[in-house]
Amino acid sequence: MVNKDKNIESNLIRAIVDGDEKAFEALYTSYYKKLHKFLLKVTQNQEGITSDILQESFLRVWINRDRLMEIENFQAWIYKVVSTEALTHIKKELHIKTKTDRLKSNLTYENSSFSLQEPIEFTEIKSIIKQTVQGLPQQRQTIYLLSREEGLSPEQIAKKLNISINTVYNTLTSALKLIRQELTKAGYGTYLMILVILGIF
Amino acid sequence: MRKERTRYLLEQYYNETLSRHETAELAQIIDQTDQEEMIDILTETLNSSTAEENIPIDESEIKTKVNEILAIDKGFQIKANHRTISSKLFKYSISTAAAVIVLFGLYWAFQQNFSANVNQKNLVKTIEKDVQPGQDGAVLVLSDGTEVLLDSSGSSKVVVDRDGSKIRINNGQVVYLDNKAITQNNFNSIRTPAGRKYNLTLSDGTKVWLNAASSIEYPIVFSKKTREVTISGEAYFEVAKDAQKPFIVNIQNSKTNIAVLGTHFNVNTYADNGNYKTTLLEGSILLNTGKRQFLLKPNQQAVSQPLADQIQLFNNIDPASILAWKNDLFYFEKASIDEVMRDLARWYDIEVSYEGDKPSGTFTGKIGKDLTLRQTLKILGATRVKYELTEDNKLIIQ
Repeated sequence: MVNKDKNIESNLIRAIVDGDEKAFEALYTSYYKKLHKFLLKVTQNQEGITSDILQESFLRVWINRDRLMEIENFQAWIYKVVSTEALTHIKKELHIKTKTDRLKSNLTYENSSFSLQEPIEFTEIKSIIKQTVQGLPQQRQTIYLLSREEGLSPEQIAKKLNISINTVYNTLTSALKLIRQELTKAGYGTYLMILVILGIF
Repeated sequence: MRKERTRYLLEQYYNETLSRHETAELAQIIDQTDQEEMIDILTETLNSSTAEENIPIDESEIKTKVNEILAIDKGFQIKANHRTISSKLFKYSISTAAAVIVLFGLYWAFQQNFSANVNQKNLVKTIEKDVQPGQDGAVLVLSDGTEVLLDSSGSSKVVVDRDGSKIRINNGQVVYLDNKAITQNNFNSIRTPAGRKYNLTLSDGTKVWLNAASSIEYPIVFSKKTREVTISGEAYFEVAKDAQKPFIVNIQNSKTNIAVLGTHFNVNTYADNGNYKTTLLEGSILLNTGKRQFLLKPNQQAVSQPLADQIQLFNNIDPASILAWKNDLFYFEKASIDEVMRDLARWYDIEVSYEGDKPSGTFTGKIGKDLTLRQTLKILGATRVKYELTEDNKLIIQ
């Protein structure tokens, strides 16, 4: 990657850490372009699944946004995340294919309910996050909501509430940490594998 | 060595040229190989196949996906800097948030951000006057004209038609008792008023979903050579296969009919659209406008007009858009305010009128039909469009 691109990317990442939605969309679009060809291969040209894999990968980016600065090489990291998702998909496909073949050759249909690619349960994840946010103490909740509902940057929040910017950052980080804990408890840990992968770099 | 073999097999997988034997082999290799090693192999492939920057991209698809992610931790609609939100208001805003979850990337064409900027003033306004969403229910009309209300009140009763046939109404569902004994060609009909939808199974096993403000007339048993029903409004059919007895859907007060053998399709004849929209999802159907006939293929939509010669044909219709109403969703794709309001009027049983110019712009997205009118309007970004909801359910767009 050219240095200039690298700069743009690290600026985007810094903005995402601050909760900037436009930056997130820009980063998503840039990796959509980079990964599209690979994902079409992996999904054997099924556009819909291609989009789903990219989305699942970037859901991790968003839910772990407070930790993005800890990743030295974002591209290498996201490539690894996407490869992991791709492997999961290939495994499923092969499983379905071999199962179908067995069924065809034995002509027994007793286990004919195949596991299909299930989309992420956005609804459920969202309700877990909502509960977590509601359970936050007043001040923390206010900071979190100013960031997400009003789209304010940490700096703006600090000014508005007349507190230090570090308090804002610490609050947002601990809120996200709590959200991740709750999601892991609910069985969504696999969507949050950032720590395991972080360790490699 | 094995790494080479894995790479080779993966390449065959990408090209869809794996033999059955190789499929099993690759599945086994993946199961037995360390996950990290497999991921490394895939990452190699990824690095060698990253695309050039200038590929065509589907921006709306990206936007939808991104918005789904971004909506995951917001839209809770709690105004943060008002610490004195009363508990009642608080509860209300939470239930709204729960309902808003079904919203995926819906936006004004000029991209106003409507998702969550609800201020307290609006919240107060929303509990003043609201209209509850529609629900399941219909009216059964017997051959003698008797009307029986079908609602899910849980009660069970038996009514007798003039030919002596017994009908059990159980939890809003219609069951014909001993219908094998009936030989006479007696017709019943079911109609849904605005704000109600209904689904029923005909005596041949055909399933019918009726949208709001629609009707179907059908024989209690199909004793003739053809199975004929007559509809108005909008209906979705899953016709039971019977090659001996074609199934024919007539459109009320029209020479248009649709002949089928066994198939899934949707007919939308809401008169306020001026058109009949027939969409086939599975099988094949023959559309007969009285003047012309046309054989439809799956995922094709024919738009015909009752009195015109022409049939307009649309290919590659997204089944989700057609099935949305059956799955309790409003589904708008670049819909004008008119189209949106017509749909809302049917579901909330309201009258819509406009004071002055109609707002321009289009709507794209899905909204759950279990929301109240105010909640739906809020999602539509209609808080930017000024409106007034009167006590007698009239919505005035100002």
